[in-house]
Amino acid sequence: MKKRPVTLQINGSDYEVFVEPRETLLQVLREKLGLTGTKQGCDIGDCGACTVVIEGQPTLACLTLAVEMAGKEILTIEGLSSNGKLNPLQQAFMDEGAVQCGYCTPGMIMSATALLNRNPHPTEEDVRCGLAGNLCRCTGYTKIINAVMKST
Amino acid sequence: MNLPWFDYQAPESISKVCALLAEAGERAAIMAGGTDLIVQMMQRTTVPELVIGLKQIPQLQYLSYSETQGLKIGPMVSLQKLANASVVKDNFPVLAETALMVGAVQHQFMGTVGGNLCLNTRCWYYNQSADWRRSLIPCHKLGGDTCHAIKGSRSRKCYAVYSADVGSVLFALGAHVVLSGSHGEKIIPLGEFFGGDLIKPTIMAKDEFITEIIVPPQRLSFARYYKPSLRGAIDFPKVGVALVASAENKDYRVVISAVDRKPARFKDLEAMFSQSEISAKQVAEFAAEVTSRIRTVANVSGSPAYRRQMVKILIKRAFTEMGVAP
Repeated sequence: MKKRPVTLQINGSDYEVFVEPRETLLQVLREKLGLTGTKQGCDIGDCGACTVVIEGQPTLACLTLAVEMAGKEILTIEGLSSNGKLNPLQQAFMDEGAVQCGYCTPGMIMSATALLNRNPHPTEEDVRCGLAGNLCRCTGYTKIINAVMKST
Repeated sequence: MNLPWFDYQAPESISKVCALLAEAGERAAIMAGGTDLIVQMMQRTTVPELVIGLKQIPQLQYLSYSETQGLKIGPMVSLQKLANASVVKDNFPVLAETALMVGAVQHQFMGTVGGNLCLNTRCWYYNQSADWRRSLIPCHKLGGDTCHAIKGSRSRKCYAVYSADVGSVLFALGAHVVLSGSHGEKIIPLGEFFGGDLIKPTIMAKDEFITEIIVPPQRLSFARYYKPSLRGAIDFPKVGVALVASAENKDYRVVISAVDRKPARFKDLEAMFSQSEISAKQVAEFAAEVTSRIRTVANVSGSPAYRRQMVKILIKRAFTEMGVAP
């Protein structure tokens, strides 16, 4: 199918890309733009590893067509740090040791980012609900939840 | 994995969607939030040549309430928006609570009310990758003539189940849908909407799509939905039970999801609650009779025996929480 031009606003920058309708946002981020911080997990919306924040909302990039994203503000894990300095949430993950293999971490942090945007002072229950769509195969949930709580 | 090839159109009006559907017919698929359709396409259970996205149509994204007309929901309203809207929380809190039981937070932001209503029926032997399914002969849903969930003999029936939480609660609330297509508009009750054949749970034709959901105004004394699932945070229901009650009208509606190709309701049994004060004995009889009429098979999570038992338990729990002494 014919490719079409789409301008994606990612982490404050515009990227003009040619995409096929069937390409997901996840594929475009990773394979066309080299933004490999967003991870590919199950590819069917079960694991949350590909979570990015679109217009402030946590979104599964594997279930999002890139062609539908023109003009939307997209935030990926690469957009959180500034001038080489981690943001408070990322730093809290480091400080708490909330990382084991690290594969789920970008998705966890993006879900937590969206949660803190809509609820800057969540309870532990809120954090558990906000991260419920993100699976950690290492099962290191306790420290992840601690890190999000600590960052608030 | 790549999605199959398809063309994509995002019309900006309902009439343009109707025109596209009329032209493309069977070859097209409507995409609302994408959380169901893209998975189906990824697994090649649906391979449309044209995907029609509805995100560019503002007329499909509204919520309104009036005492005379009830709650009107645009099909592209997200589940999160439904859950957080004050018109919903004030008038039909059960809808807001149920929207937050669907999937995880990401699905609730992406998924829509219309998409939830149109959720395709699900089965372990169908909702698998194309490679996985290739090891079996095609079942009813794939154009074959067998059901793998029934062991040992060829079943003439498809046992895939309708698992939509919000869809089941809307059915219990007596909602109607507006279907638009090349013929114009028609309003039908959900009872009629879920009148599809073995394969397709709804009667919606290929050139139609939902343009409005209407929940009629009603004075409810109790309404709640119960949903056990494998992982509470994300999964489809093993079974779902909705109880919607209007004590003043002696109207008690019980809808069971994930046991049939459409939400199950037994109006003749509900009639036993219309005469006198409800007793625990009546509820137990009702639950036993409902359980005897449903057939659960091993095709979604939870054993068939467990799911039947949970239907009974959840019906009793619902009536107890409504105020019937156990």
